[in-house]
Amino acid sequence: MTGANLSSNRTRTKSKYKTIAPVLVLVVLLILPAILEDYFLNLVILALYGAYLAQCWNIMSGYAGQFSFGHAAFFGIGAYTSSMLFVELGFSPWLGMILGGILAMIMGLFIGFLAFRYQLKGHYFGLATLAFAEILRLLATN
Amino acid sequence: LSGVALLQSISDGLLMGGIYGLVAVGLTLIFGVMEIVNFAHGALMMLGMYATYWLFTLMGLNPYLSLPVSMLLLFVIGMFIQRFLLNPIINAPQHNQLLLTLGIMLFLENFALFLWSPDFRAIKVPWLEKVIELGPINLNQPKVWAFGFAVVVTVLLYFLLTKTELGKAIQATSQQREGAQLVGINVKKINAIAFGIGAACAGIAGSLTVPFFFTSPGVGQVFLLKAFIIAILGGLGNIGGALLGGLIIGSSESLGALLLPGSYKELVIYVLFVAILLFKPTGIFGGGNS
Repeated sequence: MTGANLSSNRTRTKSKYKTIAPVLVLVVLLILPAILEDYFLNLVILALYGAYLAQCWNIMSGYAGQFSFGHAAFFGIGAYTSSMLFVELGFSPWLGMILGGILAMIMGLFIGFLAFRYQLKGHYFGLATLAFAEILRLLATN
Repeated sequence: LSGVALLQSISDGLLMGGIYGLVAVGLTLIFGVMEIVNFAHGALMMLGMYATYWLFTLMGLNPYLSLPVSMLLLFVIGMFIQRFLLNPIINAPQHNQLLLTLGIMLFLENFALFLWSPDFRAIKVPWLEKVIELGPINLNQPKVWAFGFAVVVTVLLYFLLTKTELGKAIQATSQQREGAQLVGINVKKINAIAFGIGAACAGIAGSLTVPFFFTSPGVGQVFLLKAFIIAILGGLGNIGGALLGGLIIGSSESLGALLLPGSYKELVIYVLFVAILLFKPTGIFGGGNS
C-alpha cells in the first residue's frame, strides 16, 4: 500500500467518525437520564455545563486570542436577567434565557468596542475585562 | 459633611494607600523585569501575613521585628517560584505565564486553607492601640507605622535599583533581555532575584498589615486587584509611580466611602481604572509600556 493511499484512507475514516461520533454522543445523552441515578445525572449535567462554559471562553480567548477575565460578568448578566424576569414579571426562563443572552451580547459588544477602539492588548485587555466584571458585580450586589 | 471628616477620611486613605503602594511596588517590579502579570502576588502577601501572625501568637514577637523574617522568607519563595516554575517558560506567550501565576495563587491559597483553616484571624497588640491625635484628626497607630515602613522600603528599593551594581543589572534586564545577556549579565539569576525582591515587598506589606487587618487564606484578593490598578495607574514598571498611585487609590477609596452609599467606594476605583486603561494605558506618571 502506498503512502498516499494510506493517508486518503485515514482521512476517509476520520470524516466517517466525524459524522458518526456526534450522533452517537447524542444518542447516549438521550438514554442517560433514563438509566442514571440522580447524583450521577447531576454530575454529567455539570460536566457538560463546564464544557459549554469553557467553549464560551474559548471563542473569545482561544480563537480570537484575547485573554478575558470578564466572562463571569456575562454569566451574571444572563443569570440576573432570566431570574429577575421570572420573579418580577413571571416570564418563563426559556424566554429569559434568550433575552439574557441578548443582553450579555450587548454588554460584550460595548466592552469590546471600548477596549478595541482604544487598542487594549494582552495583559491590559485582560485586566480591563476583570475591572468590568468587578464593576458589574458591585452594581449587582448593591 | 464637615471639613474635619473630609480631612480624617483623606488621611486614613493616604495611610492605607501606603500599604497598597508597597504591594503594587513589588508587582510593578516583577512586571518591569519579566513582563509577567503576577496573580500570585496577593497570595505571597498572605504568606507574609501568616508569618507575622504566627510569630506573634506563638512567640510574642513584636510584629515589626518579624519584618526581616517575612522579607527573607518571601524572597526565598519568590526566587524559587521564578527559578523553577517561571524561568522554564519565560519565552512562552504571555498568557501562559499569567495562567501559571494564577495556578500558583490557587495552590498557595488552598494550601493555607489546608494548613491554617479558613478562620479569620487578628492579633491584639496593646501598645499599638493608642490613637495618635494630630490636631482635629485621629490616626490609627499601626497604620502610621505601616505607612512609614512602606515609604522607607520603597525609597530603599529605589536606591537599590538606581545606585547598586545589582540594581543596574536588574534595570538592564528589564530594558533589553537579550542585550543584557550579551554584556554578560546572568539573566536567569537576575530574573530570580527580581521576583524574589518583588515577593519580599509583598511579604513586608503583609507583615505591616497584620496589626490592623484580618488574616485569612483569601485575604490577598483584597489587595491584588487594587495592586494591579495601582501598578497600571503609576505606569507598569515605575516604582515611584506605584507608591504615588497607591496614595491616590487609597485616598479616593476612602473619599468614596465617605461620599457614596454602600460599597460604591470600590466602584470609584474600578471606573477610574477603566478610564486610565482606555485613555492613558502607560500610566499617569509614564514609564509604562503598553
